[in-house]
Amino acid sequence: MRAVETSEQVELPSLLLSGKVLLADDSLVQRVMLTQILEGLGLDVVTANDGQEAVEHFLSVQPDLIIMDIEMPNMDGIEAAQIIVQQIEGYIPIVFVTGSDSKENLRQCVELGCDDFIARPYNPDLLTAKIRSLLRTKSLYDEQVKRKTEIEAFQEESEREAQVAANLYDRIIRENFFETPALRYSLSPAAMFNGDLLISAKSPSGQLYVMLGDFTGHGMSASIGAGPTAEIFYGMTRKGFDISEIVSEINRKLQKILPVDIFLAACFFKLDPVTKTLDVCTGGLPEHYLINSSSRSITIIASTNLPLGIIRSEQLTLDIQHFNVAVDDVFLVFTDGLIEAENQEGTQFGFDRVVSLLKNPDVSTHFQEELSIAVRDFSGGRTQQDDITIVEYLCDIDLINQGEESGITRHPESKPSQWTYSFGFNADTLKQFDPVPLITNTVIDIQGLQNHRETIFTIVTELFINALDHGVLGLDSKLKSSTDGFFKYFEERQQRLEALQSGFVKASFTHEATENGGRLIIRMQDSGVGFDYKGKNKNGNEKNIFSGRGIALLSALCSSVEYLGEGNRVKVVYEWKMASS
Amino acid sequence: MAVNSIVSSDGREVTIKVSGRFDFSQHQAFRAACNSLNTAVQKFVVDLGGTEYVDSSALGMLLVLRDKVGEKKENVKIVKARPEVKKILEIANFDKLFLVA
Repeated sequence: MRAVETSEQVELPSLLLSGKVLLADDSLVQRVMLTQILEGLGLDVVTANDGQEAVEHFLSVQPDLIIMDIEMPNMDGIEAAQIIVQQIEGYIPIVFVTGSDSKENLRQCVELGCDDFIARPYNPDLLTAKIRSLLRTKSLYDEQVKRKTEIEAFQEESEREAQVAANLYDRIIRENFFETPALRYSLSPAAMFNGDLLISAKSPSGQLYVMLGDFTGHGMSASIGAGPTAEIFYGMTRKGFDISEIVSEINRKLQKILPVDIFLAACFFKLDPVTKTLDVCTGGLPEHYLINSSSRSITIIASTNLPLGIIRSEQLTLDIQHFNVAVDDVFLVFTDGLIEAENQEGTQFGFDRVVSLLKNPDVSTHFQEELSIAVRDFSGGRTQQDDITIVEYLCDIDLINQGEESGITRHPESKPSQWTYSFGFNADTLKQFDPVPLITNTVIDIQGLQNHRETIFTIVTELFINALDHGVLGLDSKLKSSTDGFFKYFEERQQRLEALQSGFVKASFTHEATENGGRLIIRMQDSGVGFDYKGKNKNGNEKNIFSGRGIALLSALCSSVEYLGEGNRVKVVYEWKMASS
Repeated sequence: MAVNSIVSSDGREVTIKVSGRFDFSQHQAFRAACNSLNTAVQKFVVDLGGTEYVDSSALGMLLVLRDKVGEKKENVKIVKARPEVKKILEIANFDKLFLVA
């Protein structure tokens, strides 16, 4: 590296320079004399006898400076420089040397964009000063280019990462999102980047679960937590876990993965259409409102928990608030962007404006939209709108049932056909990722079974978890028999999975056409020792409702569930009918 | 807009004063103030008397303090918070983690 490259040295150049000079002169005396001066300055010198040689040496030498005599045989300096200039990438100063002071030469040099011009005989001090100055210019130029390239690379990388994060966000969060007319929301497309997260799912028993969360930090730091949060939320809701269990599990995960200063302020709520109750577990978000849209009476629901990801789940005592709801009740939740939106004078929108809007009988009951408009008008159309997520939930039971998961358009299934697909996962793979979504999606895509996604996903999840947890990892489901035991179980599971050296789970999917649909036969085998399934079948009335759920659920969804061999092999059959038939 | 820290004579207690807006823009100053402290520090007093506003990154910074001196509630004391600042601390239920006086 050249000494002139760092900025301190540029400001206070040492007497010695460094760099490579290509010197072209047909006179031996001149070459020797100039070489002496240049080497005396600390520079490396490569010489050429004429223009032709200078052109030939140029690419291999990669000089930092070119000193070229004008009058030379074979090819003169001007012509050589013209050729070299074409090949220069970046900036290499060219200095012409001449004995004559012909105006024509000078003009040609200037036209060529040459950097300096030295007339013989030279004054060594002047020559040194010129060379020093030109090399300094070059090093500044190089530094500039390097910085620019670095910045561009960094920007490109950031954009790419942001894109990856956005895609991930879309895939994980939106794919499973349960859309229902009961849930109205305004979520900016930039939500990922302000850390807002809205997810919604339906439990097996028909309850609606929703989470609105707001990660501290922006962009990438928020995205660290979004994936695991959504995954746990969807996974556990689908399996019928209750809010407190889901929240504890998300907290456990976030506490482990997030940096100390990043946390998730969130509101989880569950609407049970049978008992007509709303359960709210909320921490760190501004207060929520339960509004009766007919009487405009308001119940304020304040945050009673810590945000998630701060303290360990064992120390977390979750407070869950219960409310009875009527069909004309509306539950309203928003992130702090709404309260903090400022007008031109710097006054915040605040809670009072929210409450008076909700109570005003002249305002429509489409509260989410009314608030969006009100805050936009208030802030004078400033772009703050992007940081605000408002969610409104209509407690009208019938509306929930009209919902469906987004991403599922009711495509007709492909013509039922005969195929087999198998997968095998070894210890390394099992440690790294959950293959269930991958294999389920593949199977669904082959046969166009999008309408059956949820069921097939549940079946594969149950089978896979049984194979991995009880088979490969040898976990005892008895551990799960208390609520408290769940966490012990998950901790134990995590530890065993991390320590896993060997083992496998194999799955095969065979599909056959039936009269009006198809039959999907799923076989799964694990490397575990199996279990006494005969005893289990006989004693069908499992008292343990937690660990018994897996097999009971499978039996409910499949036309047959059969354990084979030592109990480490299972075969289930799922039958489906064409939507059109 | 500033972060000032005063170390007690025995070096165990540090009072941090934040004036103006306590938000992401103070992040660097706050971190620097934290990192410059030696390990003898056992208690923090965060004086929010001059703080007009706190956002969630400020809450994150308070968590960093808590992390530095162990998780006992008495170890980080938040004093003189104005009502609007107190409201933010209440929403986050930070009185469960810090002594809010």
